[in-house]
Amino acid sequence: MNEMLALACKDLRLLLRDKVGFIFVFFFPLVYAIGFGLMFKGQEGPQAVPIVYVDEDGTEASRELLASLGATGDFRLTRSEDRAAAEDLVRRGRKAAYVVVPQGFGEARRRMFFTQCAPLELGADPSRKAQAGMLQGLLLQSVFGGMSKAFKNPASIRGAIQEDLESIKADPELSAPKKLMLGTFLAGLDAFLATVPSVQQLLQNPAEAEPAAGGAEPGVARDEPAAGSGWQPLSVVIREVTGRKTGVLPPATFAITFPQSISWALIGCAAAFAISIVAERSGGTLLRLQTAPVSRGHVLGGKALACFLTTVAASGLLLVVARVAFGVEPQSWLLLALAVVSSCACFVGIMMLLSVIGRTEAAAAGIGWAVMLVLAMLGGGMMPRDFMPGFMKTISHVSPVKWAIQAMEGAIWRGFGPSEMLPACAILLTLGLATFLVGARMIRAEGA
Amino acid sequence: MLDFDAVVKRYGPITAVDGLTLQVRRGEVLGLLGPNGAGKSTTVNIAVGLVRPDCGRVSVAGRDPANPGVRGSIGIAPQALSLYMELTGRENVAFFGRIQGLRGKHLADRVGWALDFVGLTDRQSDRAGTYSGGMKRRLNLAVALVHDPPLLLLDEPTVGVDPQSRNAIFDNIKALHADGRTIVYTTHYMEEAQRLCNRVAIIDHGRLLALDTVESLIKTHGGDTVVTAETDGGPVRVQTGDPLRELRRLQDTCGLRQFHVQRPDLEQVFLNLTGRQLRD
Repeated sequence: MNEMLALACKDLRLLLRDKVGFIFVFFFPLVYAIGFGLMFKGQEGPQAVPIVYVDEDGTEASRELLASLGATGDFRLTRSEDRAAAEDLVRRGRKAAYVVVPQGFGEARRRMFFTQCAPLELGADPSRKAQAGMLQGLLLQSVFGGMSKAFKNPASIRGAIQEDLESIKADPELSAPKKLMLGTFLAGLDAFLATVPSVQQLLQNPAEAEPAAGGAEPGVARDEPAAGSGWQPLSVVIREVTGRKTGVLPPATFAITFPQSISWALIGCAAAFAISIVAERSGGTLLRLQTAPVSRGHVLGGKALACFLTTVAASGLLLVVARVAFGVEPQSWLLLALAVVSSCACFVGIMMLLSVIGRTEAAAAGIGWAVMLVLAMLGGGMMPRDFMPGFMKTISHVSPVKWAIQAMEGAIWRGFGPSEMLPACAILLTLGLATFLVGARMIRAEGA
Repeated sequence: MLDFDAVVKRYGPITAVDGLTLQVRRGEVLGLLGPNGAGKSTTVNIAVGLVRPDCGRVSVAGRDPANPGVRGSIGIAPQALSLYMELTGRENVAFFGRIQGLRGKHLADRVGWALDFVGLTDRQSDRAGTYSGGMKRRLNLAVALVHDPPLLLLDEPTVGVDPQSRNAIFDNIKALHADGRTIVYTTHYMEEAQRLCNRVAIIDHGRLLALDTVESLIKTHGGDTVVTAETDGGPVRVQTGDPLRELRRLQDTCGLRQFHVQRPDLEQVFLNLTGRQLRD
């Protein structure tokens, strides 16, 4: 027993002295728990989805519809005067979706059984399908909510029905059978609505229900249920905003997943090469290389070049698989190359910095992956950034994973132009250069 | 060939090299003898330009070893095995040869020579990770030799090797010396220093305590020979400069039954210079 205790004490003492191990056992799980907790919790409940809308109708009904969306608290609405500008915001990933309320919406809502208007247009970021689906559901809910409200005030609907009946009578293009059919339906509906106040009264005062229950009107309603079948008060057309020239083809799901997978390839390469530098240092080969008639810059440059070529090869392989096996067709190969090169350069720099943090291979592996996982977590590599609370979204700007994914998505399916690619690529290159220089300087300082 | 002039290197409160002044002559084997932590490896790293001294100056053939061009004239076999274990023996030697600027047939010739010199031609296609400790040490030496450097820095080259490989390495060093190369050989084994080195520098706490040939060091700092004897009158232990005369005296006066003569060695020299054993 004493021996076992001695062994256990020894191992605990070793753990306490192994700072990296200690961090992994006690500190890192805490970071994860807090990080993910903050992401899922949010600061103000579920994170509001950024939506841009274009109100082409400008009526009370359209304003009510949009206000009802805002009132749910699930959406953060921004107005745009221009459909193209709204679409562009979604394409660039600034907004999750846009909604266009077409002209005539208000009139169609008022005279819902006669007047049809263009459908509501919902343009969604394909990588945010869940949010688009939620938005569609809430739009329909809002419209049906408006109908329900209207039916509680039958007088207004009956007025609209009378206008419809007169329009039908006066319409020279409607055939006689159609006029008869529509007229009968609307007249029946009008008759039904005439009973609504008494029904409401009965519902409020059941004691008076018996005499009225024997009336014929409810039977009429039962006999004519098919009058409105197939009719819908509103239709919503969903477009996926991809930046594709055709404007109709949604990107393959793999066009969305492959940029993320490439970011993981970059993370893997950077971590592996960081470990290899530490292995060279601890194994003595770095020392031997530094005694060769080459500068330290050459030694580090060679390592960086190997890492860069590996990351490019890994990214290229993934893109070839995406193209050949899954039909992912980038919008611009040139811009995609720029995005990949920028991302690879960035992770080469990060690799260099990571290699000086860990003293041993185990420490470098642990710290390297820990840092990379945090960057992936922040950058949207593990879960969509849209689920994050606002402050974490702000923090996520420091993660190269975020910029790498954005740049690659921009070239593959968002249809970014050169000027739109520039910020992400510039940030990646700057970050890569800065981390490379700091890492290289620290490696040099170690040898001094 | 290699000059240290009042070199000082500190790591925080620890002075690894403390005012070292030393000249390594062209074509000699100079031993740096001292216990672990004496500053031998730091001295080697300074010599090869890896570590910048805080004070003083180092030169290789009159030039600063921090200059990459100068480092091409140095071959180093670090104490830690500086090899890629996933590469074969030949790939290791060829890679470092290429880094040293060798190309084409010259590279192939030098790689073949280095592997043959250390006796690894038969195992050249095997991964270094599969080699025994002694073979790895020999490969470590081959890598140091591939670019044919006139100055060799061998940092504890026999640590952890079997006697057979140790003797093979000794033979290699003797052959290199005979070939006219300058060799700096760091060790904490006095037997190695005594066996291989023309001159020995004794270092402790980063300071040079003595520098001379083995014989001169012993003569100057070793003290007298110790004669231990069993006589008819009991055990006797005598320190003397003339052991033969002392033994004759004991035979005549006490009746000598058996005796042991211990001549002073580098261990004794170190003890006399520092007050402690070399392996303390």
